[in-house]
Amino acid sequence: MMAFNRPSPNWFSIRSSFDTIVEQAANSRLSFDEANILKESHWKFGQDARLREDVRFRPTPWGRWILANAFLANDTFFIQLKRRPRSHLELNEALRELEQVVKRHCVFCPGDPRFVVENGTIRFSARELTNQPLIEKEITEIEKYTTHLPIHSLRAAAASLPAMEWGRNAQEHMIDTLGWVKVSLPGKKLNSRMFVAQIEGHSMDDGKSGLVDGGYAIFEFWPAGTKQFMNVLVRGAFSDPETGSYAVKKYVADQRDVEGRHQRITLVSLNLDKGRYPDIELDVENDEDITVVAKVVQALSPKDFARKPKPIRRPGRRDLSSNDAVENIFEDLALYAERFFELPTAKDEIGIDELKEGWSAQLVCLEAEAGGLQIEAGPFTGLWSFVKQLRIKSNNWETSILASNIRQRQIRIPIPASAGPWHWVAAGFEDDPDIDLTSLSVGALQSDRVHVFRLDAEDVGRIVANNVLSLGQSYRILLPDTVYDSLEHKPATTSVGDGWRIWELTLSTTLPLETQEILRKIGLDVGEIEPRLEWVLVPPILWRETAKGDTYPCFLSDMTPVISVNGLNIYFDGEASLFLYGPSETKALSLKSGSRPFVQLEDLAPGRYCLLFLHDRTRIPPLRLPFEVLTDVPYPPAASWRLTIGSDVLVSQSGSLLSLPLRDLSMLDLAEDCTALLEAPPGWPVRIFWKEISEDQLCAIQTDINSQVDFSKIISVSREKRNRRAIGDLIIDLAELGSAVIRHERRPKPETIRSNFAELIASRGATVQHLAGAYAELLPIWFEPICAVLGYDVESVSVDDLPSPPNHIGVFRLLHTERHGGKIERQPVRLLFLVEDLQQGLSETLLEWIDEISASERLRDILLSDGLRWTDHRRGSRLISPVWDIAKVMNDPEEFVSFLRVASEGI
Amino acid sequence: MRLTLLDENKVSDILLNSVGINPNDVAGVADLLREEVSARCCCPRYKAIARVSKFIAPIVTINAETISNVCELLERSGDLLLGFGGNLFPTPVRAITLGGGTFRLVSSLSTKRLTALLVGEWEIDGITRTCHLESERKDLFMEEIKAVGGVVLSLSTWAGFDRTPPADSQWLSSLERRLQLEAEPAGSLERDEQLVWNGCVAIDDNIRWKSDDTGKMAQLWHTRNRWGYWLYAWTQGGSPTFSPFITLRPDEGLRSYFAVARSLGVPLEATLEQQAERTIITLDSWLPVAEYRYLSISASLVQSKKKGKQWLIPNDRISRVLDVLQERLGLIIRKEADL
Repeated sequence: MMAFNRPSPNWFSIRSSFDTIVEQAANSRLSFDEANILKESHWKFGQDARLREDVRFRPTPWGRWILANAFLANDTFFIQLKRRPRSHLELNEALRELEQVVKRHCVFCPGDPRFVVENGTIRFSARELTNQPLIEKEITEIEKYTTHLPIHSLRAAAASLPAMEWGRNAQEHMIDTLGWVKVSLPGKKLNSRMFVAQIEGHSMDDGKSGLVDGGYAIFEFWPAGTKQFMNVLVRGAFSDPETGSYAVKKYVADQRDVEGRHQRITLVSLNLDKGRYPDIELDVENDEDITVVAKVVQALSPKDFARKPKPIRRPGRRDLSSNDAVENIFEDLALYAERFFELPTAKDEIGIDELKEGWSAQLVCLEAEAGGLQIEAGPFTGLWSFVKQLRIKSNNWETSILASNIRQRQIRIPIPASAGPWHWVAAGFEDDPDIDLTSLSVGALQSDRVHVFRLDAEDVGRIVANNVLSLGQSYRILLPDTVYDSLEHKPATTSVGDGWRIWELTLSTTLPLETQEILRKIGLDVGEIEPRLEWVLVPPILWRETAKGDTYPCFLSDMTPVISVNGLNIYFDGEASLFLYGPSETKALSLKSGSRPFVQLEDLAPGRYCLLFLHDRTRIPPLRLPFEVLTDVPYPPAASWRLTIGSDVLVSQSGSLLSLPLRDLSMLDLAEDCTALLEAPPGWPVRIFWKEISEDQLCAIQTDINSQVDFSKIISVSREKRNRRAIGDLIIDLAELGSAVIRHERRPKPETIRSNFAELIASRGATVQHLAGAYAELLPIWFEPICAVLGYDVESVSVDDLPSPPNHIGVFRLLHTERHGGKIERQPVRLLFLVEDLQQGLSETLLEWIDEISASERLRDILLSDGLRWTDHRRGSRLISPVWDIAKVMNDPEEFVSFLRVASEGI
Repeated sequence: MRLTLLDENKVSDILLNSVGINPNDVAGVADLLREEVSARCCCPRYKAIARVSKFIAPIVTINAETISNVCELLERSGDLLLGFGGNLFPTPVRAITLGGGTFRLVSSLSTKRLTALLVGEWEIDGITRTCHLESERKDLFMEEIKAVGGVVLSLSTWAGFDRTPPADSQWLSSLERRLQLEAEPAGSLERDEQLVWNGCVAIDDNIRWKSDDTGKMAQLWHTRNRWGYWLYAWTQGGSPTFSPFITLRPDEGLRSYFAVARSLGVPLEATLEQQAERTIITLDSWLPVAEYRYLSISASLVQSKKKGKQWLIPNDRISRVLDVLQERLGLIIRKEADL
């Protein structure tokens, strides 16, 4: 192997021929161009000299050269110009100031495309500037109206009053100006009546005038002489569609009358779209109807004024500290708060199509206990009023929702995970193409993979589109059984049926290996940390819901809520900040390093707030928490109830039993005739009883969240009693809040009984004839219903204690229920004897036996029947009573009434 | 408006100082639950428990079971309403007169808010809030109760004595009447499953539930169905499998149990242990709802055993409470010294 004897490199080489160049550069404030400086001294003589050969020089990033020991000032000036409210720097002065700080020779490189050097000053080049004016708050007196003009909002300028004598500072005293803007109008001299304002609206945009929406123009207050055909700022008794009672328009007036006054003035929009930007015609009765506040001197293009620099860009980073950045953050936060709390737009202003755009339905996942997978939908504001019910349908599953519920609020409907896709239809309007709810359809879940739901502040799992989980967040993972069974290490899951399971998972910053393995197996990755904002320690006084269904907490003004930032380590002071937007002020707090900051919010005035957490790394998403501060303590629900039945109203008196007057409660089924409403504290238990001889609990229900009882349930469970029983009390028991008694009494009319008989005979008449004598079979299907219509309950008489009957005969007590004072009593009033054939008449032996039985039962009145034929008998009497065939007697109203007079009770 | 970064060491004081809640005792946890349910107006029970646990997590870890137990106490005392579907609801303010200017307050309002709204000297013991008033402040108290939409109730109204008959012979007669009128056919409860009924009989001066021959002529019967719920029935004599019967609601069943014991001459017993200012009453059987509500307001629950409970009653109320229990349930009171 050969060894080479190489000279060691000399990294500190100096070229003596460059000494004069070094001297030159040491006295220069600017970087220099290599070609220019070497051309005359070296290259002209054929020397291949390069500055890089001498360590005393170094290149700037823009291809020019400076001395190696000099300080390149460009980046410092860049930051200075971004931060300071001036548009330029005096180069020499700025370099001198910098030298005092850095204690080195400072040089500026004019090759830097971010700057323009002009007349010994540097300013940003166009690429570093926005189109917005650079507003300076403080300028020197000499700059005012010489190089700078005040900038006003157009509204403020329009509302100004003329100063009696125009002094140099009149505007500053008259109008609350936004600041000063440096303007450059070659050939035009500025004066103290001039100002700059931003144009509002498109009405003057004709493509030539330069008066475009958001653009700027110079105005001059109180123009003297004629304003005819001038573009002017006017205010007056008119309403411009874009700006209201002031506008920038072209002034066109008619000829002056003999008194020298105009009768008609037209404020002309230059925009040719007169439909949207109409001219304003004014009949001027006196001079005060319209005021020409200012004339447009010139529309400004961005090159005519000093412009605001673009914010400093730091890729992947947020600016949380500069004034502009903080101002922008609060502007965004204000907008967010406004949108969060905004009320729904009035119905009559928006059409159904626009309202429908706001309707949505999506999958959410709640805890297994709360039903697991659900569809979250609503409120469907503006849902057609004629639609009473909506249905959600899938291939093998269907459910209904009351339209009135979803019209008002957001609802969640549990769904089987395997059933999708889910489609919405309006019940009864399935074929109506105008009632189209296809946009609400929710797609099916793939049954061969997991579905991830991230928990929001309300613990509602929202579906995550990608498969990357964030540390610090909580998730609900929906696993099909097939995937679960394939796992070697099984996570703790809860079955939600239908072949699916829910895995509740909180990803702490340190993730166990086993969990990592499971996540990898089910195809999920773990990404960056995401923080959470949580209210802790000071419980909110109330949670309210916005019109869009989002909930937010409310505190009292004397409370000091505490926020905790979780799931994120803050490594450096100021790395993250909290911004609080309030009703009258804003506040920012830079967070210190630590693992879990707690921040207390104090001295909160009543109103709506929005708290924002921002990290300076853009990949950590912003977190917002809206809340409200109340002045009044919300009271608990009132210990009262109110029952409305038709026009009768009962209002609670705790613990007492209140009664409504007697009525026929079968009317409750006729909803249009009788409104029934029960209001009590939300969730209050309500027991419904039917009382005759004993109390029978029909159901136990509770009031809903709106403090109302579903009265249809009461109507439904009591229907049979109300329609079948002649007398009874419907008792609504509200525990310690008292009870309401609705007294029921129905006295049927002969026509009603006739129609009941007709129904029974039509349906069972033939059977009765076939089963003659089979009393046990006939009793439930025939005699009990007939007796109920006649006003009786039927009770068996024990045959063991009776003397043997002469014929095949059945004996029953007929009980009638009546009110006696405040009580309901049921008493035996007749005996019913069932015989095989009434047509053959009653033998004396039989009559004697009947008398004996009735004497033992202490009843005098007896009814006898063989099925269709009925007659009566009075104990001891041998007078022959008529026999009524009820199939025939029904056709003769008078005869039917005679029958009822003998055979019925309480008609 | 101020944002203040809290020193982690001071965080633990916040709850106590700002909210007046000590999360380490039952009263504190109860107040957090009351606050949560009041603020939400309606929330699932399990969620309220989870939220309270999470809410105080920065300073103390309390497991869900402990919070759930406190929640159960609040539900039983009437401070919170547990509705169908497992939802908790807040409750109105109800002031129950205990006599002598003392009121027991039942409401979902937290103690801090309740005591700020109502005058009086407050005594907080676990989940119970008692207000003592001098006679001249009663009117003001009534007005304040009215202003918060509350009511003042007598103890018997609270208990529901006006709607619930005592467990006596009249109660048993009413069951007989119902049986005459509304008897269900024998065996009709056993359509879905075979039920093992136990009859309520007196054996050796004690009331017992028996399934063998000794209980075969009993009138009151009970059993558990496959879901674990108690079913009660009343018959003419004999198991509901073979005799017509009426079904009793669990509360009616318990009431009938006391009434049967009374009628068979073996009334149930309560044991008294006299202390300086209070008396401990031990009841070995579950009480019907009305009597439970009465006792839960008149006394404080000190111990809950598998069967039966111990209650602490101030001595100035003991005779009245015992009278009510004797009159309504026929209880025999035995002093511990006599045993």
